[in-house]
Order: sequence, then C-alpha cells, then structure tokens
Amino acid sequence: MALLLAACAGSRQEPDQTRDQTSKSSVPSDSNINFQLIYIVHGDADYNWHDSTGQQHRADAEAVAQALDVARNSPHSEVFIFHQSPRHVKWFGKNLEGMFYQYRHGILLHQEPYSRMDDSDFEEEARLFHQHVLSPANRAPTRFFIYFGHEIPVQNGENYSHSYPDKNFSQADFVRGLDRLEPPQSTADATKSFALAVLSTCYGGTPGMLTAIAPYAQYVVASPAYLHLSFLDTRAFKELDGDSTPLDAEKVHALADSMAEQSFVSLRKNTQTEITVGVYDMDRSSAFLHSFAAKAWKTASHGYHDCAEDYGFDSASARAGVDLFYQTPRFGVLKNKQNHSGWECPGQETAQR
Amino acid sequence: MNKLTLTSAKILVAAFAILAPLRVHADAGFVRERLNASINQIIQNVRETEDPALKRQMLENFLNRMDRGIGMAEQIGSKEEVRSLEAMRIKVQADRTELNGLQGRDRVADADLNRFANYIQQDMEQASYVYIGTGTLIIILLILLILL
Repeated sequence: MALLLAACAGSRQEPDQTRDQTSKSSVPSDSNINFQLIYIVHGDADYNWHDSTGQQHRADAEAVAQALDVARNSPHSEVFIFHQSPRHVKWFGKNLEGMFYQYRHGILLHQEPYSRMDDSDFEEEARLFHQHVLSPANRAPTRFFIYFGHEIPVQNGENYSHSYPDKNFSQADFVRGLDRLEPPQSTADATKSFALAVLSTCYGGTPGMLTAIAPYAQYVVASPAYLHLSFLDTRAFKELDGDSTPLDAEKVHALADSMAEQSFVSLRKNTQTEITVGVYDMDRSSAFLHSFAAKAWKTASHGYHDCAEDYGFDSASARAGVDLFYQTPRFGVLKNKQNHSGWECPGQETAQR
Repeated sequence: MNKLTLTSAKILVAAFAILAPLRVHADAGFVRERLNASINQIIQNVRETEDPALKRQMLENFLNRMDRGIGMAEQIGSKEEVRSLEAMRIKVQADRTELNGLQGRDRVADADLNRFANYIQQDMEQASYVYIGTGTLIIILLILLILL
C-alpha cells in the first residue's frame, strides 16, 4: 500500500506568478472598456484526461490557459478569471482554494489566491468581482459569463468539489452564483445580465438548466449531452472589436455560432464519443421551455437521453432558437443515431440527483 | 487470476471497505489521477499490441475487471454512489457486448479496435466520478492494478 500511495503522489503545477506584472500606470483609459468577461473554472475534482497518444492533460489548467489567452488579447475588455482549485494546493507556502486574475485592456491588474471557504454559490468570487470591477460612468459593457466544470447536478450534488465532499453544488447554487455576479450598476436598458453564457460542462443544454439560466442570459452555448474534457473553445472572444457596444443581438448570436463551430471542429479531431454543441437563443427557446415546465415531462428512461425520445415532445417548438453541431458516437448504442434535437432530458433517476 | 492473488485482492478490498466510511479525502485527487493513469496504461498496451485477437482479449480482460471492480464498489457505496456506479457498469457491459458482437450488436471490427479502445477511455474519462467517493474508487483501482 505504501508503494501505491507513493505512486499516487504526483506534483501540482504552481500558478505562474512571474508573468504579466505590468505597471498599472500603463493601463489605457477606462472609457474604452466595451466588454466584460467572467470566467469560472472549476478544478477541485478530477479533470485529467488522456489523448490518443496517451499524453495526460489537465482540463482545468488548459481552460485557465485559454481564458488567460483571451484576457491578454482582448484590448477592449475587462476579464475576470477564477480558478477553483483543490484545497491542498500551496502558493508561496500558503493554502489556497482558488486563484483570481483580473485583466483590463489585456493587462494584468490583479492576481491573487483566495479562499472559497465552504461556499458553493460563488460568494467569494462575487466579492472579488464587486471589489475590483470597473464601473464605467456613462455606459455598461456587454457582459459574458463562462463556466468550465463537470456536469452541474440537478439537485443535491454532493462531492462536486472534492475539498468539500459534503457540500452540495446544484443548479440552484449555480444560478444563485449568477445572481451574485449581477452588474454593479443599474442597467435599466439591459434586460439580462449576460449577453452570452458559455457552459463548458456535460449536460448543460437541458431544459431544466436553461430554464434556470434564462433570466440571466440572452444566448447560451452549451453541450446538451456529454462534453469531452478538452472542453469548449472560447477564443472567439478575442475577435471582439471595440467599435460597438453594447453588441446587438445579431452580433452576439454570430459570436456564439462562431464559438460553437470552433469548439465542434476542435472536439471532433480526436473524439470518438458523441459531440453535441448547441447555441440557444433564450427568447426564441422560451416557448419550448415553458411547455416543458408545464407538462411535467414524463419519461421512461433512466439516464440522460435526447428529449425527442419522450412522449409528448414538441419537435417544432424545440427547434426554435437552437443551432446544433452534432457528431454521432463512433461506437455504442447511439452509433446509428443520425441527429439530435438539441435538448437532453434527465431520466427518472438522474432528475433526483 | 490465481488463488493467492484473488485472496490478496479480497483482503485489500475488505480493508478498504472498513476504511471507506472514515471518509479519508486527503488523497481524493491522487486516487482519481491514479485510476485514470491505470486505465490509460491498459489502453496504451492495447494500442501497442499488433495482434487483433490479443487486442480483443486485453480489452475483454479490462472490461471484465472494471465490471468486477464496480460490482465490489457498489457493495460499500452510498445510495448516490451506487447510482453512478450502476450507470458506469451498464456502459462497461454494453462495451463488452459490442466488442464481442453479442445480443445482436455488430462486432467491433479488428481494424477498429484501437478506435474502440479510445472510445472506451474517452467515455470513462468524460463520465468522471463526480458522485463517487475516494474509498469506493480505490476498490476499482485495486482491481485494475492487478491487471497491469
């Protein structure tokens, strides 16, 4: 057993604390901030995966690298990145449970470890966000929210964060977190907090999850089914220019489509399993979501499945507002499934989790 | 597996069955990492083997071992864990059925065995072990390590 435990003792990558310590005096005028991005990357669980050559990857570390790449190359944006890490990670000899980064105009303003305490609804992240966020005097930036992690449980969700195995993390906690990240200033003209929310998790595109998010986001990019741990690709945010703010719906939709397509192309390079990446227009999807909630959906399935398999599924309303990129799995019982409705429903037992 | 190895495995499983309720979480990440690494090693061994019959046998052994490990883990798992373990087990059994072309399924072609091995690995890594505790995973890991 001693041998086994010794073999388990891998090394953890320390955050890079030497880069980007640019002088804050070089930060350009705050008036040019047109976009605000909030990344939350969950890393307090198993995020290891291996590619076809056997090379190991750490999904959360790569997601943070992707977010940092966006942050450094977005001259008109303010970017917040929260990396939720396991409790035992050390940074300068100090315990930490997360790393916070703030970039403005591509320049690092803050990088500091933080403690998540035992909260599961982004309380500490929201505190840091509100402490450091820029509040433009005369206009509100177009806002984006991005979450990387495992499937967010419908309810209960014990053991989601391994540092807090007894703490629940569920869709309700997630939505409370979104609420905490509301913009600091009143935005009477903005109906929703986020122009686009990106859910880089398994089973993000479920009626239940999207109903919960609908009050907060105009568009959502998510995978309704399994999502490989190489995750969604959000580097399309780097293409945002500074000419127009707030972005109109058409441009947000185009950005979401671009992100979904890039993600799909990247995922299919070496993924043998099913790939589903959807873009959801939350206004146009509302009729389907309302009908889903009203019907108290009945299913005979035990696990997650395409909602189209359920009795009473309204394919016409389900299609409205959904663009889906789909690859059938190369093997398994679904290998002959030629299309997907874009909506995945929990089975009888999944819904109880 | 010879009798001595089987007995050793049972003793280890029993030991962890006792330890698991103590909820020792300090090494949770390491156990998961080690389990994924073990699966990766097995899959790499399959890829590096040229004889299709041997590849198929190695995959069969792996899936049998996973099935057995999950079955043992279910005996000590919480209600929540048992649900996740059962979902994993159903997938493992479905993979074995497809590998061998049983129950009316198309048998995985010899030329597709490497891709099938990738599929199994990706499926297991994506499925993750969100709802499965450390003690329970250790049992699966032990059963797999005997295979290596």
